[in-house]
Amino acid sequence: MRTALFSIILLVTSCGIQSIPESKNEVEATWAEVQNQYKRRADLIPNLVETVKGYAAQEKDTLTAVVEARAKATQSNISVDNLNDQTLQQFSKAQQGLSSALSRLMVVVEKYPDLKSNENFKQLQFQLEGTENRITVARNRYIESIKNFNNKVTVPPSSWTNSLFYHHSKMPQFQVENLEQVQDAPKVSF
Amino acid sequence: MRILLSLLLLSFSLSAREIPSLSGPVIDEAKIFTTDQKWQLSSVLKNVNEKYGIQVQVFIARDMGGDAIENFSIRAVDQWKLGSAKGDKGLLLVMAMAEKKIRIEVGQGLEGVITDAQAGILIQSLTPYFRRGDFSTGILVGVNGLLGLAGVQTQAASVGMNKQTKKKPIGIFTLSFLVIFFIFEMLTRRRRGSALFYGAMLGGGLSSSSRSGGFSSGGGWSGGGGGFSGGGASGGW
Repeated sequence: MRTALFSIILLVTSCGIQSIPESKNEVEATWAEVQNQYKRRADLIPNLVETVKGYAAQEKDTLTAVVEARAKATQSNISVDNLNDQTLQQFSKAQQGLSSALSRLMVVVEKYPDLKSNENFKQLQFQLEGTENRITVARNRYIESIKNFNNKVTVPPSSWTNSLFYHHSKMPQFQVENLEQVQDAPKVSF
Repeated sequence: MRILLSLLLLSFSLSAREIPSLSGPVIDEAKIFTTDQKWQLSSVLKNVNEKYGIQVQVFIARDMGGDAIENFSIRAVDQWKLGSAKGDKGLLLVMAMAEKKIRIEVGQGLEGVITDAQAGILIQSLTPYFRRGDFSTGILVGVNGLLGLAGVQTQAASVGMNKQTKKKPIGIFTLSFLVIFFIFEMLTRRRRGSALFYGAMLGGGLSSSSRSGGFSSGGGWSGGGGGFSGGGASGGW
């Protein structure tokens, strides 16, 4: 009797009845962190733009591009329930747009030594670098949790439990930034 | 086919540098510190961890095996989980001697008091020491700066240091482990050519000796489940 009970428990715990919702929660948490860190970056930008303006007002085009890309990026928040291949791609594209606008700004900034030695600007630069790193970490953790979740819902035996009880489908994974955008990257010419 | 696959796996596992096990508050692969210095710094950091719940780790790596410092550092804290699960007050000062890179990794519970900018400015203040080759001073200044930012009164830390140094600095157990592994390394170096192996063995030796009473006070040194989300700053010299 006891062994029968024990084997049932063992069966139940390894079949995904518990681990599928757990890994779903993990996905939700890591996705929240991804959005959180992108928001953190967006929050830094007004201050950054103001500081750069003070020294390099003539770089209006680059600055406007950053402000516009930021507006696009902050509009593109998605809740975890609306997460699918298409929405994730849109989100990535908007954020990537901001990344390239920012890197163009950072190239332009090289021409202004006064700006570069400004204390406030230096701090902002550190904050921005730190945030980019946090974004990388958050994205990696999301990728990891999605991999885990997708394995649970597609690989037996837990996939059987999924099709019986939960009916979850695979969640979208971050793709390597698409090639067009890489080609779009600013060219340094001398 | 299988041989090919295992060869492929082997080469992959060799290319990514492993993170050593958490043997103590100071992991000094490059032998920057003397045994005495290492002991003193370790006891200060153990004291700080006990009193303030802030777990500071110093990790001086010989090299990163081609990894980027940010990735190397997050891998280390993910493995070690510095700080308690509740407070998340872990701090890592990591250096890679071969690549001349340094990074401060800040635990989630300390992100409010040590911003990325503060960490970055602290790193900038350390690089002159490193360029001069005065690594031990640079690291001490860095640890001091971190403790200051985290709200630890350095006086308390140094008082703790005096108290601790009266105790036996290093157990005979640890010493014999060191000697054994040093000889082991000398014998195997030619054939294996692997400094990593030495680091891992040394780490293992130290941690097992601390369990068997080699390190005197404070007990063992292990992470408590603290979380990191990539906060901090990097630099080079």
